[in-house]
Amino acid sequence: MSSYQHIISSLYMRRTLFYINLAWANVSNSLKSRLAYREDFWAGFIANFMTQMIGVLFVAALFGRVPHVKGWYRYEIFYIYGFSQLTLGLFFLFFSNLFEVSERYIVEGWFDRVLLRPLDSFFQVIIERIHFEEISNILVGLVIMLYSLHHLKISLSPSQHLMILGMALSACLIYLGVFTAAVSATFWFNDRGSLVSVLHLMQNFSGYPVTIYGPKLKFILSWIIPYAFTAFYPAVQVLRPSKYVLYAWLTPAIGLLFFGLGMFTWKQGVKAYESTGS
Amino acid sequence: MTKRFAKYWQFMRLGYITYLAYRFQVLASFVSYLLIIALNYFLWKAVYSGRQVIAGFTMEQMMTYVVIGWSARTFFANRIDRMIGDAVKDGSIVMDLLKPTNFQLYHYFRSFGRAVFMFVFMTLPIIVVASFLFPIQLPSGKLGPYLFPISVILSFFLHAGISYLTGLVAFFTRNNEGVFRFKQLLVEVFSGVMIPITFFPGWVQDALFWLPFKYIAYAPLRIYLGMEPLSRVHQGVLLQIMWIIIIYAAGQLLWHYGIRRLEIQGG
Repeated sequence: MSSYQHIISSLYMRRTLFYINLAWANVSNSLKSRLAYREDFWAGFIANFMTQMIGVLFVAALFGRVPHVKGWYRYEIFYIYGFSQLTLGLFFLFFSNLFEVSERYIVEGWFDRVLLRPLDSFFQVIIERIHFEEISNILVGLVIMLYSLHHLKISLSPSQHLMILGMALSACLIYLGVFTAAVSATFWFNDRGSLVSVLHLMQNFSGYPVTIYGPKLKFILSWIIPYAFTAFYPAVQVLRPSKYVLYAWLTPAIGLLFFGLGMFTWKQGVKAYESTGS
Repeated sequence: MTKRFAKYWQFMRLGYITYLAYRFQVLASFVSYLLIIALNYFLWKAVYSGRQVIAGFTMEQMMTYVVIGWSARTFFANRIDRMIGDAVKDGSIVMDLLKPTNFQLYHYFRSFGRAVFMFVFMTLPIIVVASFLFPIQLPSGKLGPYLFPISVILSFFLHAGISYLTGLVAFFTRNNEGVFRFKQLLVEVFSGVMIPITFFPGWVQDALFWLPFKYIAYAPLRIYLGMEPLSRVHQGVLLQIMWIIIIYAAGQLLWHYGIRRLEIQGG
């Protein structure tokens, strides 16, 4: 390595460390400011947990009356649902500020402030808020997964634990990419997030085996809005290892692809941004 | 008396007119609702594959239940909780408090204006489009066609009361987003929009017997499907009215207690 390259790479290192430090400072600050209103913090936490419980009750009731749906047994479906809650929890924990972009940052013009700072605009928007309440989503998801595995008499090896973690993070990247692209659309169209709400709605149906919907919807959920890769394909890898192996291992690739797509749309959107001037 | 009614008529008009300004958004949520109906339809179709009757509902009844239930939801949904939450947050609630009106009825009627708008531009178009896409039955039984609309109008006022109570939570805590989301899912699941009450385990059904939620969607939908005998239909409508009165009274009570707790942070 020449010394020139060495300097460049150490600059990148310092830049990355700088961003990590900033992110960390922000997490601890936002936790402190949230804990300043302790009652409010717990009110939010409890509300979020109870919302989760109602969701669980719905899924239990929906599939509780029948032993299987199109060949998928109850506890397999629960496992897939648990996995989807885990990835959704991870996604919303770190990236929920993304959903403020249309209304607050673009329509109301907060984005001007972001552009004034010599930092990456996406990074700034993301670290502005950590949605701590989502920790309950993650925990509930994990508990459902463990409970289902117990009923299915499946025990996981350490490498499978690692794989599940990797898959969950990849699934998070898919959500991040899809929603970043959708939110970025507001840079061009002043629509206040109706596209985002449609994508939100479809998310509610990603926690079940996609094969039950029939071939057309399965195709859409696999290859157009790839929600099937956020829960079903990676989860099946554990439940029925011989099925959809290729699909499961495609998850990280799809994650990176959509993340790249999201970042690209964001960059283009920022270029197109015109301040409201207020 | 006529003067008092005129006031609430104006609130209704206000609610109606406000939404005329959001025509593009209404079109967008029209598409969303069709999508929800389609996805729910396919989900239920999968659950019913290879089975004829589950929890007392035949497949045909269930398909109608899903489509009519979600269509009716476009009418009886409201944003009262969020309106109160926003008003507390930005301080504009001060202006509402200065008005010589009943705060609760103001919200009921303003939202009813919105519901009328939604009925014309959402509920009816959705039912028309959905009836081409999905196999749905017409209202059955002798009373279904007449009592179903009345029952759904009552659902609106029942749901408005629940949203109002939820909105008042904003008087007590600043972090109400989670509470509003909880209420939304609570109503969607326990009203029976997402799933008929008979699908729940026995203990949940017992608990729901003592709660108002199932009178929002489940009871009207059973009237629509002609699943209840005449006596039970009347009973259901009377229980809706009873719950509307109870929740209205609870709203009045909570208001008088909450107004003393309310802190408005200067804007």
